[in-house]
Amino acid sequence: MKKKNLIYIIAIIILFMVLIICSCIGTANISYMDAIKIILKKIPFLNIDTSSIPNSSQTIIWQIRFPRVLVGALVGGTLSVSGVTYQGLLKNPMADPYVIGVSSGAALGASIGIVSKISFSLLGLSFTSIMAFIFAVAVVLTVYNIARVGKKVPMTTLLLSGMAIGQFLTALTSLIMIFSNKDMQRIMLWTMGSLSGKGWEQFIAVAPYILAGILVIYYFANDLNIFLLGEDTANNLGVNVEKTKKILLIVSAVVTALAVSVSGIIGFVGLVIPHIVRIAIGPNHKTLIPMSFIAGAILMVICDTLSRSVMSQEIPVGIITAILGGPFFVYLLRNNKKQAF
Amino acid sequence: MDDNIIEIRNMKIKYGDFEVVKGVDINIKKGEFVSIIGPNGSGKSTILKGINKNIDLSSGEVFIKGKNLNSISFKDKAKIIGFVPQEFNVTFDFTVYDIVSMGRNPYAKRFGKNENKDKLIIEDALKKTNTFKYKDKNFNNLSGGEKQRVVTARALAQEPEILILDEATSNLDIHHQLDILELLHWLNREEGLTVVSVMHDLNMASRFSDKLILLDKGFVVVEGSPEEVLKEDIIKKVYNMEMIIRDNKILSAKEIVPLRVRKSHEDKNIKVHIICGGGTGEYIIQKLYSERYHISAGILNEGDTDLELCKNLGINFVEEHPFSTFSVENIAKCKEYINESNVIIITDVAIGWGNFENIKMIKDITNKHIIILHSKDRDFVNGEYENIINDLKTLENVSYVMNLKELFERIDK
Repeated sequence: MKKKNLIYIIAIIILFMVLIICSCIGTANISYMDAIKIILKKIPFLNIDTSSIPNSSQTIIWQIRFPRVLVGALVGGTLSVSGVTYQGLLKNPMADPYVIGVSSGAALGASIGIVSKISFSLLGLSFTSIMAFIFAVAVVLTVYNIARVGKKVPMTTLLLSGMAIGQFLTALTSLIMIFSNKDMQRIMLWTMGSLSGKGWEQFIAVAPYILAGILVIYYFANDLNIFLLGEDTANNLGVNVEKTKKILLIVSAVVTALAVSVSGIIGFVGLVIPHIVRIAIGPNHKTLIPMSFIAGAILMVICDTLSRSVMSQEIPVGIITAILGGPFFVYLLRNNKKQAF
Repeated sequence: MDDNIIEIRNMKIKYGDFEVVKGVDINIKKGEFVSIIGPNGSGKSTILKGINKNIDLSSGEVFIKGKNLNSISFKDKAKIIGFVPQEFNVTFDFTVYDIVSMGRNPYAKRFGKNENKDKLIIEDALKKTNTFKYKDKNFNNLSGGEKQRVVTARALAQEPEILILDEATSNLDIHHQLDILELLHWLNREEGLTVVSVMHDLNMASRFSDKLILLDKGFVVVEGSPEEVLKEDIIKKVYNMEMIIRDNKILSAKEIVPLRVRKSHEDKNIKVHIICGGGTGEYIIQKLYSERYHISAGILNEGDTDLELCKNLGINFVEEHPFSTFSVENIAKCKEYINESNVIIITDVAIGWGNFENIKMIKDITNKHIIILHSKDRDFVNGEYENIINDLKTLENVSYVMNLKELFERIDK
């Protein structure tokens, strides 16, 4: 069969394996066989018998670990697809999902949420998460409107205004941290990103919207390919440049904001995974987008599992992604002769 | 009008506050090869951008196949108009095949793979532009001319009805310029593609186009066939330079010979009469004209190239029918010119019975500077010419020069 299809199949198999294996890892000692049975029991036709397994194990696997792994996969995949989109739109290999201010907005929103100590939640998301989401989207819309000239949005202006606003918001966040010393640690941990305590509630709250958003992005895969040739050429080849830019920018920002509101700001995944996948299967967005999702999901789940099992204290997963992602990317760059981007 | 494939009505386009296109009406018929010409900054490229929806009009309308461009989606526009830009730089490693296959984008399905039909069209485009052999090569490794052909292939892959080219030949050497233009001509004539091209090379535009549209400072100055548009008074004024427009009979087209932009010399109040013919005077006349001498020439035969030059530059001349003896009136007229002049030049033209009279007219002149350019074997009047010249050479007012350099040095003395 064709090489491309083979790669997809292998990737999906690895993803499933990772999802299941990582669900099995944890402080409570549960055997692999038991864990697998618990997960597979949910599939209606297999009629797996789990009556011999204690309820506590079932709860741990099905209510705690497995959903956390799923959230990790979702967040990793989303950040990667978002990274692919920004790199394509901005034609900039250094772009990541946070370039136009999502992260700084989310951090500010989360700090306000944490400091305010309001504890109501909506649709499974905590007040902190909701604030993070609202601020992230607000920042993106602000940055977009600052950069806009008439009906057009020049990409360099967008990047620069994102940087400027981002710096400003980071300063505000730092200010909040200084003034509420007690919460500083919580805020910092939030900004470093973590999947601790995330489960079905969070997954169900954001998954439908994220997946819808990613489908929208995939719809424009051909256009993203053409964008690489320049906006004038894209116009010549039938792309409605301004409309496409607007939709992609905003949809990517929203799905990123949704992911970030759940997990905090996990870096490196959105920057590095697109490049890795591009080196492996080339720059065609029709394959790049789905593969990046799968690869990002795999990376995130592995990193999250490491973050909670390497040391006795949980390390924020954002640190792990950076420690692993960086050197691996350097290794790939050195070994690859073709220009990846 | 129904057979207009592009109709532009009162198009105005601004860059910021500056109006580049100031109210332009253009009609292009299906199947025409139209070139838009004009000086830099006249708005040519901007008009193309307006047609191609790259830029918004500040007022006016564009109709493509009868439909208002505003109501045509970008995708549909790309199925009708194929745009070939001047330069095309790609920072990524795409193969030639990749580049050309992007031309199928307007027809691509969102969720699905390309059909076989696309493959055939891409290959056809590659073959027509003679780039099939490069299809797996990295686009960035091609030469400028090859890249231009690939970009043209990409436009062809769009299956367009109109090809628009923005100075597509300006960066190419002569071979590749001609190559692209011949291809365009073939596409226009054999496949019925309407071609709209902005070109700087007026001679190429004249040779290949059905219609020229001359722009200046945002307005259409004139439009029509090359014969109608390429007239000296119009072109000289628009391009602000001295030039000659003559018929290129080999190519059956108008040919522009640019002469001079800077008019530095003041008027020299020196009148020069030139005895020439057969092209021997072309360079001398052109140079003296640019240095602001007053020139007359005679007697020349109808159809003579030196005579054509005089007509083009508006120089006084005496014209006689070919293969006839000089009439009395013409001789009188020529003598008058000779009398008015300060300097007389004889070029290296051959002297035969048809033009010997010209020499006889000046043989007794002693009060004017006569410059004779040397030439071997030019006497076809049984030595009579040589006799006259030998006598003249002895006189003080006569200079006998061996080449053009000496000739020009002598004139000023």
